[in-house]
Order: sequence, then structure tokens, then C-alpha cells
Amino acid sequence: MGALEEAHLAAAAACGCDDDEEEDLVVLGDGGGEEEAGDAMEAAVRALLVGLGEDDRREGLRRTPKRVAKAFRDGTRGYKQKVKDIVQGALFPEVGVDKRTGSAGGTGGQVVVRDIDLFSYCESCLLPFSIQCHVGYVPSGGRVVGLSKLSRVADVFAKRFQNPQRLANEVCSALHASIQPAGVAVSLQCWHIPLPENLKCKSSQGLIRTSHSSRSGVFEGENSSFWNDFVALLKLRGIDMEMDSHSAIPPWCPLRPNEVPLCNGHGKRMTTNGAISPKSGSSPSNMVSAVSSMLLSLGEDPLRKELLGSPQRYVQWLMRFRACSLDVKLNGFTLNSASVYERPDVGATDHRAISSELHLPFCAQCEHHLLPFYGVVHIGYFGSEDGEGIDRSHFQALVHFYGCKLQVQERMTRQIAEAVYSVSHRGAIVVVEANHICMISRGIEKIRSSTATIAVLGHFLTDSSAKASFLQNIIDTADLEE
Amino acid sequence: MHRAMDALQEANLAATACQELVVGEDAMEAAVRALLVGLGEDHRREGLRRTPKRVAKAFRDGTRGYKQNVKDIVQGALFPERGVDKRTGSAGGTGGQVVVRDIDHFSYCESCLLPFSIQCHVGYVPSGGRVVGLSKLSRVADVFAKRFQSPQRIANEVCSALHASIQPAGVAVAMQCWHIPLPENMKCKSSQVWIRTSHSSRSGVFEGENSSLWNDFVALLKLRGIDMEMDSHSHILPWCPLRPHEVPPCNGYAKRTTNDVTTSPKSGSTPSSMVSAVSSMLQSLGEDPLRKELVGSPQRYVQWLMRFRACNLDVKWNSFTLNSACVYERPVEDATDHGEIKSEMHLPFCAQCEHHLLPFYGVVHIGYFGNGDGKGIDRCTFQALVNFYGCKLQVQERMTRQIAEAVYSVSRRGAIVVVEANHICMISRGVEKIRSSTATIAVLGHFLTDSCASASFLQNIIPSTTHGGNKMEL
Repeated sequence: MGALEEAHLAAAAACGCDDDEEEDLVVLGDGGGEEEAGDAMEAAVRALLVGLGEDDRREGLRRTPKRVAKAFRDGTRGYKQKVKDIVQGALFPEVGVDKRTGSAGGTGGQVVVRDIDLFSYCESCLLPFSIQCHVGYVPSGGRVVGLSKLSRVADVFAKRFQNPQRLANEVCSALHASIQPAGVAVSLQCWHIPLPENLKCKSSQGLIRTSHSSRSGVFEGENSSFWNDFVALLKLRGIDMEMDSHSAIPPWCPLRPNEVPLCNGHGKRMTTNGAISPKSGSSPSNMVSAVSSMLLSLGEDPLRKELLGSPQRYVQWLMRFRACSLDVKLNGFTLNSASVYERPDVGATDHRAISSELHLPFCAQCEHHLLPFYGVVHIGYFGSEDGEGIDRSHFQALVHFYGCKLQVQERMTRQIAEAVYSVSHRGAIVVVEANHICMISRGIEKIRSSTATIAVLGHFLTDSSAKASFLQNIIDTADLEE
Repeated sequence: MHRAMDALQEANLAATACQELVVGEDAMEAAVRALLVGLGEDHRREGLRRTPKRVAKAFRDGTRGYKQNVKDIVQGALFPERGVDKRTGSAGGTGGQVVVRDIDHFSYCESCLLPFSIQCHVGYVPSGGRVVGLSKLSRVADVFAKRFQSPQRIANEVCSALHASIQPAGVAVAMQCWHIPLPENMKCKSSQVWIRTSHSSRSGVFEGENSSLWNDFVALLKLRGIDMEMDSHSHILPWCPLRPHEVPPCNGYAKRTTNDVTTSPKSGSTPSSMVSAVSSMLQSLGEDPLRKELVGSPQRYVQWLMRFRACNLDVKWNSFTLNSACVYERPVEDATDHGEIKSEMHLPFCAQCEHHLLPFYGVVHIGYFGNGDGKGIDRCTFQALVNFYGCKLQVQERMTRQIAEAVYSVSRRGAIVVVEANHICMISRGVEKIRSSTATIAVLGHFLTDSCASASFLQNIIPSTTHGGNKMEL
């Protein structure tokens, strides 16, 4: 227990000093006001945890209010940033192609930075969404801008509560005003996390995708050759803007299913109802007002048209991960800690065939940051002697049960494994692969990272070839799912 | 016109107001300035004026790992988590290993002081009922990456640091690293351009000939398409191409090669003033230039830079001498019939960004008009042209324009040039947009007036087929 005790002592000794994510945070605003606002936000998050039926003093949740408050402040730092500060000082004189012979009196043509990965917050439900951004401009007046500034300016507007079209528009006009080029073109592809019940196990995981763009100056107009060149340069990277601009019918924010967002001027109302999760229902008003107060602390206006109802939707999302004291019954066995630990069947030296259910999709909520982590679960077990296995839908329900709460991936893996082991006394093995929004959209921002956990019980523990062949099976079937 | 200059004037005024920066610049910035002078550049010209500051800052930021403390990172991020019962579950932990895969990092090669990229995968087996916050695995790796490093040593240091701070049952670290090749070795096809190597390090229950936990770790990496066996012992290429005589120790194996250094036309002596400037930079950063692995690195870094030395050569082409004065003759107006459009695509290049002294590399596509008899210009002529304009401190917009003007001088109907490049300055530092790619276009003559011509040229560029596959390819 050495390391953990040490850690606690040190943490107690350094009472205010927290886990080390300070380094990434930009210090904003005046110190005093920030402190108070921070405390108010943490109190609000604490209210949310209580509303979810959790014990906010347990170890995993103790610093969650601080982490969540910090994440929101960092994720909305764009409100305080000035485009002028970024662009100024990064303008360089560059001789253009002579106006008599070259294009558009600039330096010779457009400059396009493609595949800028960004994250923003959905103003409709307050969850992060991911963006692939492409920015082009035509230099004018003998000046070019430092390439990284295009990305930094996009980030100013991404780090706010946003919707995709407005983000594209704001980036476009800000760049046009600050660089004063002949024109600017912005293209975005955005992905929104779906409702947990709509997750698929394919690689795109059922994320809702939309495309948006915005143009100014020489990029505008029906048949702008600059715009056509811009589109062609994106195609070189496999970016097809036409793919889903008008064809996709799903609404942008799945928690707000009745409206398709304005997409380059087109809007559409839906008539389908939102999918109802078994846990959804009322959004407790104290939780909703806690979220509204968080918006105020961040400098937003909860009465702004687009934010009306967002606190409710955010709470609705959280409530799917409400703590619950239900037990799961599986094949007549009640699962709780006591009955899992019967002795494994020692006499079974022959392998019954290993049965498996692979690539079961799930979405859980990380208890440290109140952000989703989602992916797939693979389950291996021993079927009964007559070859019967357990229906996939039972496993899906099991996975769903353990996913729909504030979780930690290591714990969820163990819980599912113990549940399976209680009916598969020979052994059980569970592998979970997940993407953690808390590591992707903020903090270390490792966009490609993926976390895997394993729990191994019974025969799978003692017989490493059984375990190896299960893992190999996942590898072999992985291609099919891509 | 007046309005158009506003933004630039403003910027200049703001910069002049801080003129005293030059006077008060620190030792590192002075050293970079010495490098620029050694490259034959005018360090006061606009594009280079703040380069010393940017380069110094990049090195300081890129080596911040020396000052960071692993304990500070891990402590406070340990959470109690009940394990599977010891009687029935694996390794007395919480139920098995935890592996974070595909953590992208950048580090600095201690052999030549250029950045190299890393895909890192870290696993550990929790013990004693505690797990660590997942992001800390990445943060700890970063402590060791943000230094002058070699791949195997990073793997070893990350592994032992995690083992000491988390106190788990074991730690496994696997890394794939990519080093920029010599510019003359850049090829344009999908074959691996960058020099790739794999390394790993293990502790505790991951060690041993047939550790089942290690086998599980390898299997979990395979699920992400990561094949560690692929290049651990098979290829003989040296890690750092500027130091070709040694293959780095790779999990205990080392090998000397006997190939000679490829000689670039520009390589030669490394001016000692520049070398000592770089040594002093290392000292400012807290490193010891006399450390065994760093001996010779300043020379190699200067050798790299000298490939991008300013030069006053003109390119002679088909007996036309190119300089600004003679390019701007009137385009051939009466050519309503097209000589056919010809093109050379995917000409590889490597240039050095003048703002950060870091490479940017990619491909150039050139379109021009033949003279109607079916003959075109030889590809290797274009490659030489691209090499000429690439081998200097550059800005992508300028390089594009220069190549276009050069082509236009012999293809009087028109010329179009598209450059696609990855900028290490945007990928390894600063905005750190790992997947970003910058494209520039220059359009002259007929390609300007006839939008079908330029559109059809662009349509004909075949996208790089390995987009998204090989990590460091376009």
C-alpha cells in the first residue's frame, strides 16, 4: 500500500495542490474573480453528483468537481481570446507573382492548411464534439500569415459553446478581418457523440457527422475558381465535402432530435421523437439550475436563444449514468460479490469449447471528468456441456447495465468479468477497448489514443493458451468490423 | 492600397516597439543568430528577424522534460480500485493489465538535434488495489520524450519511472519511432521514407521468456494494427541518418554498418563558429555537450543546416537565365489552340522553414504547356529545379511562386505549381496538429485565364494512396 499511502499523505500535506494538469491551463482573467467563480462551479458539479445518487466524498469522485470545472473553463477559453493578438506579429511580407501575369495580385495563389483537428463544445447539450478543419486564404497586399495562426484562430472560436455552422462563419470572418486577404475559405467536418443506445460497433461508432463551410471574398460566388481549387485540394486528402452536406437527415445534436441544424442556409424540422432511454425522465430542477449557474460562471448567457434548454439536455445525458442499486439477474443467478467466488471447476482438464461474444458496443461516463468513454467489449466464457451458449443480447444487456453509470474502465471490466464468471464457473475473460473523451478532447489531447483493459478469471488464468486463442480470435474478427 | 498595408504596418510598428528585444536577447538567441549568419543569410530581414527567438523557445519547450518530476505527475492520480479476488483472478490486481495505445509524442534526436516522432503504447498491471489516472501514463512518457533522446533509452526510462512511481506488478512500454531521412533519400512513393525503428522495455511480471502478460500486451497492440516484430531486427538502416556508421542498440542488439555517408553537394566543412554556437545552446538548455551521446551532435546539426545554405547561383535553363527581370514578358496572346497540358506530379522535396529552422517536406506538382510537338521536359530536370528551390531557408508560399516563375519562363503559355507539405514546426511543437498538411498553388498565364485548364490539372493529381497509412507520409 506504500505508494497510495504516500500519495495521500502528500496530498493532505499540500492541501490545495492538485493533480498536475495545471501546466496546460491558460491563466485567464483576474485572480480574485476566477477563484470565486471556480468555487461556485465546483459546488454546482457537486450538486450534479449528488443528484446522480453518488457519494461525492468517495475517493474517485472527491476531486471530480475541480476537474470538471477546470475542463469547462479551459474548454471555453476562446471567449477571452483575441484574434488580433494572434495574427498580429505573424504577418510576413512576401513578394507576389507580378500582378500583370499572376493570379489575383497576391503571392501567386491560395494557401490551404488541411486536417486541423479541433474540439469544441456543443451548445445544445454541453458535450464535446470533434472537428476536422480546413482553412484556405488568398494572400493579398504582399503579405502572408504564419501558417499556425490559421489553426490558432480556429481554436479561439472552437473553444466555446458552439454549433458547426456558426463556428465556420466566425472563423472565416475573423480571418478575413485580421489578415485582410483577397478571400478566406473554411470547411469543417464535425462528429457528435450519439445516444448510447445508438452506438454501433463499427469503427465510426455511430457518431453523427456533418459538414459545413464558409467563404469570403474571391471564394464567394456561384462559380468561383478559387473555391473549386479549394475543394480539389481537399479531395487530394480524401476530404469529400459533398458527402453529407444535404443528405444526412439525423439531427446534429441527438439530445435535441426535433431539428436538423442550419447547414449552409438549409434547415429542416424533424417529426420523429427522440429515442427514450429507460433511465430518462424528469430533469431535476436543482441539477438544471446548477448547470445554468455553471454557464454563468463561464461568462455565457443561459438565456441566449441557442442555450435555452441546454442545461436540461446536459442533465438528461448525465441522468443516463445515474447510480442505481439494482442487481442484474443472469440465468437465474443473482450477481453480488458473495456468490461469485466459488471454487473454479478444478477437474475440467479438457477444454470445453470457448464461447465468445465480441465487439459489443458500449458507452460509459468517466467518473473523474464526467465525460464519455465508449468502445467495445469482448467476452469469453465456457459454454455448457451440451454446447449451449448465452444469447448475445444477454451480454449486451449486461454490458449496458455496467456501462450506464459513472465508471472507471478497469472497474467496469472487472464487474463484467465477475458477472460472467458467476455463470461460467470454468472461467471468464473480458477485454474492453475504449476511447476516452477526457484524454482526446482535453488534457493531454492524444487524439488517436485507445485504452484496453483485461480481466481474467478461472481457467483463462491458468491456461494461457486458452487466453491467447481468445485474444487471437478478437484480432481475426477485428477486420470484419472496420 | 493604403488600407491594404494597414495590417502589416501595424504589425511592424508593434514589433519595432519591442526593438530592445534584440539588444537584450539571451545567449541562445545570439547563438541562433550566429547560425543564420553562418548560413549566409541576412538575419535582419523580416522573415528571419524573430527566428532566433522562435528557435530558442522551441528548444526550451522541447526539452522541458529535464525539469519535470515524475512523482509530481503520478502522485495525486492514484485511485483505489478493488481488484478481482486474489484467489480467483489474475496477478492479485484489479483483474488484469491496463494498456493505453497510440499515444503520439515528439522527441529530439540526441545525435542530430532534429525532432523525431513516436507512437507509444504503455501497459501496466495494477497491484495493491490502486490504479493510476490514464492520462498520467502519457504525461510521464512526455517527461522523457521532451529531452534529447534515443528511442531505446526513452523506452527504458519511461518503464522504470512508471514502475517506481505506481509500484505495479509490472510495466510494459512499446514504441515505434520515425526519424526524418536525408533530403536526397526522400522518395515519393509509399515505401517508407522515414526511418522507422521499434523498441520496448518491460519490468516485473512482463519480464521473462514466456510471460503471458507480455503476450497479452502484444496481442492488444495487434488489435490496433501495431506489429512490434516488424522491424526490430530486420532492417540494418542506422537510426540517425546523419550518423550512418552505427545502428543504435535495439533491445540489446547493436550493429555497425560499413556504408559511407551519402554526400550532399552542399555538405563539406562545418564552420567551427557554428558548431560552438550549437554547443552553447546545449549548455543553455541544461545539457552536457561532453556527454558521450552528444559528442559530435552539434556538428551533425550544423551539417544538416548547411544543406540549406543561402546561395547566389542562378538556375540556367534551356539557355535562359532566371532572375526577376526577364520572367515578365507578355504571355503568348494568340495561342487559342492549346499545346497540350503536360504535368509532372509528386516530385518529392525537403526544405527548411526559415521561421523555425525546422524541415517541411512533401511533394510538388507542376503543370505546363508543351510546345506542340509532343515533347515535354524531362522529369529529372524538374526534380533538379525543385531541389534547387528547396535547399534553402524557405517559406512554402515563396517556394511555390519561385518554381512557378521558373517553369513559366520556358513554358510561356502558362504554368501551374501545387505544393503539398507537412510542416514539422506545426506538427512537433506549437499547435501540434499532427495530421495537418499545407497546400499552396501558384498560377501563371493561361492557367490563370482558363479555369478549365487549372481545374483539369488539379483533378488529375492522384491523391497519395497512403494517406493515413504510414504515419509520416503526406
